[in-house]
Amino acid sequence: MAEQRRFLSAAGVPIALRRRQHSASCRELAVRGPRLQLRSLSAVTSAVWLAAYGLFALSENSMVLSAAIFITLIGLIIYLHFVKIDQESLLVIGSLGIQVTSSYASGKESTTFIEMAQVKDVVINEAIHMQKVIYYLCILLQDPEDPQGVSEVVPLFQFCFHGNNLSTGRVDSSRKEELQATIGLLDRSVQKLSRDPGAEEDSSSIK
Amino acid sequence: MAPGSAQGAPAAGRSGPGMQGGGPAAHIVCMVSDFFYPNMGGVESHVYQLSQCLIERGHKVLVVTHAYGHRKGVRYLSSGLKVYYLPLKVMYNQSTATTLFHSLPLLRYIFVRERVTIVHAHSSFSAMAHDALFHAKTMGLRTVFTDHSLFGFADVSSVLTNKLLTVSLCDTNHIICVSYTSKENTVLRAALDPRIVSVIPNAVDPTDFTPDPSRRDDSTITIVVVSRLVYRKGIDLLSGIIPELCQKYPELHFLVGGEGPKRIILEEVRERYQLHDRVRLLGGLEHQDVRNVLVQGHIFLNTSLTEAFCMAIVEAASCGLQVVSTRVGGIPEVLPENLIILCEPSVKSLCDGLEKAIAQLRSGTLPSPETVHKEVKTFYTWRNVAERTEKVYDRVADEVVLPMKERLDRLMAHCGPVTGCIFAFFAVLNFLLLVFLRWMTPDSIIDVAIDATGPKGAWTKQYFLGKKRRAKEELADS
Repeated sequence: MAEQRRFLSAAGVPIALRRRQHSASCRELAVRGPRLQLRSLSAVTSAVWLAAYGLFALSENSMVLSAAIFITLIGLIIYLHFVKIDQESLLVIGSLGIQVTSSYASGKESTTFIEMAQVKDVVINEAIHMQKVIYYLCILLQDPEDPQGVSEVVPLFQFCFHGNNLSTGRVDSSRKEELQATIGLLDRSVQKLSRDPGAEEDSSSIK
Repeated sequence: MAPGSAQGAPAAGRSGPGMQGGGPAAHIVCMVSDFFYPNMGGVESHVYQLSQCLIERGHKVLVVTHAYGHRKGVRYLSSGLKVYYLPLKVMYNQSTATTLFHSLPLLRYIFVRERVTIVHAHSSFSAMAHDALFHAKTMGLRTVFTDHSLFGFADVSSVLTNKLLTVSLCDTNHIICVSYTSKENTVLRAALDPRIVSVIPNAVDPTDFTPDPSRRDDSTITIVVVSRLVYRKGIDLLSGIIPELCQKYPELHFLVGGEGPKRIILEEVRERYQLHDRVRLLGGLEHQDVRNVLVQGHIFLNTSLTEAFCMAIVEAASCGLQVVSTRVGGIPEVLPENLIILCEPSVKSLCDGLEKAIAQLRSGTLPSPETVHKEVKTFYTWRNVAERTEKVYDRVADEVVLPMKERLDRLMAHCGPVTGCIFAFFAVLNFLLLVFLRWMTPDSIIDVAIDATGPKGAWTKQYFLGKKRRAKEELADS
């Protein structure tokens, strides 16, 4: 049983959210970003080539042209393999944990697993990112030494929602106290996504 | 860390933002200032208290300031007051550097996502406040500015700041000053039409400053001074007063709270005249400790050389102290004559004033702290300030924002040929930058922020309970 809904990401591009219920305690959420546009690809390629021809006309060195070929090819490979994420999915298994998978355009997949015992909470937080103020969904990880503490903040669906990477935040000890104060507030305020997978559908409330 | 929020019955009558209903519409106000908590001072508490009282009256208020150390991002204070700590570089004295442009993307994003209708900037020392005014005018929002300080006219730095103020305020919708002296000063400095300048004094929270006669030692006479130890506060006068009075009155003690570059002068005086047991320097005070220091004294001394509106003397009078102060700036407007002894800003005049106060104290003719407190309590309340500020907002909301062409004309006509042209050019650049930003991220794709302000805010407990119950019902149905 799967259903699909369309939304706009924070950057204004269309994205699709697919939900799949595998069993009562297991459910999968996948967000698919837009495909690589032929238009933007050809725009970038022609820009590089025009620049190369300009340089060639000035320097009359054919090395420039071969360098341009290599730059376009290697750039494309790096972009497809390390930058462009096609789909991000979240597999939530009730008693076990959360598996976060991102699939790159080249087919490469990277997977992280978060054990349920480590998950302290799932919240929507508000932050200033670059020149924007955004809402983002994140998992708070339990600090093993301190039952009240948070050791790490893992943002979810970052590429599809925001178009770039919010790096995973490691919380050092000097900031811990302040973060806890914030989380105290969050607990009272941000709509809490309860830990049972039944309520996970709130994640779609981000536009 | 934030002082207790204003309690009491929330005033009804205003329809909340986004709600239909009778009564005048609520405003969505964005307070911008470089100075806000955790920094401590008059402007900071003014912004906080005013925001709290406006929220109580049904408006939506948010505060924008720069990041303080690790305090970056979005925070919530009592009753859902949202504070944006923007990561902008601090240049000097907690004021951010300004290029007039670099803060536009973030401020525009905030103004759009919060659906701000009025931008209220505070303090002429704050570069961010001026930036915000500039951007708000470019975006066609209504603007209000509150001036908290007095300036001179003669030295180079005042000439420059006054010019900037002229540019910044010539097309601002309304200006608020804290005293009539301050209004006169601002009107002259910025060459304004006095009709768009209102006077709304500051207020103190009378519940924070209550007298406690049991804390004072009646076998001695204690003079309290609480101020930053800087030149503007007349610390050089204080260093002349202390030895003179201490020689005359053996039972006199001084209690000095505050920190600053002039502390060294007081320490020298203490050293030279061997007054270690009679002059106590407490160093920097937290806002909540001020009351505990005030109630230990009999007389409060203020030696300021310039002051727009002196909060410290109202706080002291509210604690039941006899106030002796210099007659400068807006101080004579602040308290009625029976509560304050005014002197010229000279050592001799201040000593005379203090001697008069000591004589009254000895003869027992001073009113009791309780009666003074009761009298002062009614003078300056934040609710009253909020009510009057609201009137300014109502008036501003009916005004039109100058379109670009008129704004340029005004700038060039008002600010002199050179400055006017330069800033008109900047205004055009700013507008082009705004057009570019609107093209990059159109207003329509910017998320609208959840409104968490006030008792009806989205994040109160009831909302959660309702939400959870609904979620459960949905689960049960499916």
